[in-house]
Amino acid sequence: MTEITNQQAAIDRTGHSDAPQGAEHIHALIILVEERPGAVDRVVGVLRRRRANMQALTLGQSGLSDSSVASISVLMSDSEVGIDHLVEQLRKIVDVQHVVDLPYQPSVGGELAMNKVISTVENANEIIDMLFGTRVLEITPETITLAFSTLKRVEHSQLLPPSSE
Amino acid sequence: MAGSAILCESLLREGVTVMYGYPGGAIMPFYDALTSYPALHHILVRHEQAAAHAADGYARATGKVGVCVATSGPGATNLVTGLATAFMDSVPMVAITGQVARPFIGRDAFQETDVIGVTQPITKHNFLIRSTDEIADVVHEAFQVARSGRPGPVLIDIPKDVQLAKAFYCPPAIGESHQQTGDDAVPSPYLVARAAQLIAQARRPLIMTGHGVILSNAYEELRAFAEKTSIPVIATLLGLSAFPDTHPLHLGMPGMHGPAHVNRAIGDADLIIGVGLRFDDRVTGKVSEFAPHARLIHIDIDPSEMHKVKVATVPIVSDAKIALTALTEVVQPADHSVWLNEIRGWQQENERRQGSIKREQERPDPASILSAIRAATDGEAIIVSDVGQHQMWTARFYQWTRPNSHLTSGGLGTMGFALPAAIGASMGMPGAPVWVVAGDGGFQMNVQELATLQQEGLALKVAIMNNGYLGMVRQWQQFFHQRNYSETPITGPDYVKLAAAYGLTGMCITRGDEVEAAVKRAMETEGTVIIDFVIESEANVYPMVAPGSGITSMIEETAEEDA
Repeated sequence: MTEITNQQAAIDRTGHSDAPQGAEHIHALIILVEERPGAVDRVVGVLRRRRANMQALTLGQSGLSDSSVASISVLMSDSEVGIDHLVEQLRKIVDVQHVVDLPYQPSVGGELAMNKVISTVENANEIIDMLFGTRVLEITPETITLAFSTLKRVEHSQLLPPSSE
Repeated sequence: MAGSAILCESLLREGVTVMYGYPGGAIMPFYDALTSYPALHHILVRHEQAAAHAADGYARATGKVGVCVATSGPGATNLVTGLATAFMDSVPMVAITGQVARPFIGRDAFQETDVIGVTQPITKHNFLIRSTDEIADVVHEAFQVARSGRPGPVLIDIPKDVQLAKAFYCPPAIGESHQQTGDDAVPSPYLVARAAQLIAQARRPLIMTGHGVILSNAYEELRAFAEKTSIPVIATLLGLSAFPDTHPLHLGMPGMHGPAHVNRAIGDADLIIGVGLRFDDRVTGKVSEFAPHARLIHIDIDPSEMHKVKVATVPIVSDAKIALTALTEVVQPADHSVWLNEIRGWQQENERRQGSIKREQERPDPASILSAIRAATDGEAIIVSDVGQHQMWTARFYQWTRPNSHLTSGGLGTMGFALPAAIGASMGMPGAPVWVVAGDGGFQMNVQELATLQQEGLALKVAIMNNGYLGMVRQWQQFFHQRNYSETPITGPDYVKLAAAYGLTGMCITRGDEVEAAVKRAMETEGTVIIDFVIESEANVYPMVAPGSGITSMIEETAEEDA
């Protein structure tokens, strides 16, 4: 008879990678919910109850042809095991139609910032030259408003440690 | 048709025959329509909390969806404890609350509460009905959600003007649902085969059954599986009565107040097959010391329970009945008598040790009260226990044989649950004797429901285990707070006079040798009987695992303790 130890049992676990428990990563979740009263509340409620370490939370139209679906994007930091459990809890919400954990798929991420800079008529060109690549949205005699954006393709491997397979 | 009538029609269509509630301003149109629907039997409770518990007790006893009704504001907030209780224990329930008329919502109207917001974390789902023509569909969906997958309470909030407005009633097609319920989810053959492989390798396996087996009505399937594999069976608090206590493979309840041999078996097991349970902290104790040598096959209908507490080697997301049937087909018959005998050896050793402690008491003994109830009802009674010491004694000392005969608030631990829940249970199971077992503290929390019993002419038998203390808290104070009995001594009324005041029968039993006769007399007496058993004031529940400890290190009864 071979002794079965817990060590073996741990390696054997199904449905999980070997990412160590407790190791936190940034995860981007996209949650599609049916727009009914309280639907968004419930999603945020689950995040609140779990004291999710959120870095960004946005709410918008899903972009699907069906306009009754809202899309909630959450950027948060948690362990893989924690995120998996959160995703399952979110999927239990009746109005939630779909939950995607982006780091599991190649995706495009980006940031957009708009800055208003104090300027004079004399130094306006200098500012625009200095910040080459930005987009000028507005120029007034006192200010210039500029838009900065970054877009990058995020690969699976950048967010998660290399898998053992 | 007015919204209120559509609501009644919709309830009838879902098979509702009984509901518990309390009228008030914002729900008055519904109550007005109700008199035209005699098939909907409404029970007037004395406090909305009791309406929720009664609907809960009805649902637990019958497996059908329990229904409770309250008005807006205070009526709805009084339901909250009952909804939370049902949510923690996965009980299918629909709560209907009135709401102020739509133009007043959000304007701090009289008796306005944001009930959708308040109940959001303690319901499986909730609906604010926005127009009268939504009613039929929403009611149908609410019942679907409540009973599908892992069941739970659902709340429907209906503004008063929506109840009054008229619309065409279009009954939704029964069975039509866009929800994925998971009820018919077939477990993957790969996982079933993998589970069978682990079962074949195991030398010290255990089956742990929880509420899921009762919810999916899988008694026979569990029994067939256990008998084919000869694996001993442990039942959690809410899993009690899923597997007969008289069965040779039955071991007992695990966890904080489980007998030592059960917890020791978990400590030594090399495989746990958990069916329909969620590894609550009262079961596991310190998780790292729970089943340290065991792999886990976890069967549950709720995917979010997988790996939540213990990582499952084989997670099977499925209804218990379907999964057990599939597993039983592929497993090989086995013999685990060596392992079972080893556990029985520990059990006998413990029982010998306990037996050597002399108990000289005149007072009624909790265990003998429970065996007297069992004897007087041939084990056919439905026992509804409250929360506290008596709850653990009931779980341990009553011999469970009738499937689903044990109803209690397990997850939330709601004192005051038993009496109203028993009202629901007795209406759901007419003909079955229903016994309430409660402490003197919990009984007084919803004691007003004696009037509901009286008005409805229901016959419950109530055993109060009266020790003049909030006993479980007192026990913790004794063990962990140096006997600092802060605010746990509690007085109560004369229960015999109280019973008489409500037109019921009361008895007070102070001697152990009177217990059997009193219970028999209660069974022979028509109507509701309340027996006040004055028990030992500082009796304890043994053994006990200190919170946060591993379950194999237990506080056991010693001879000095009771001396």
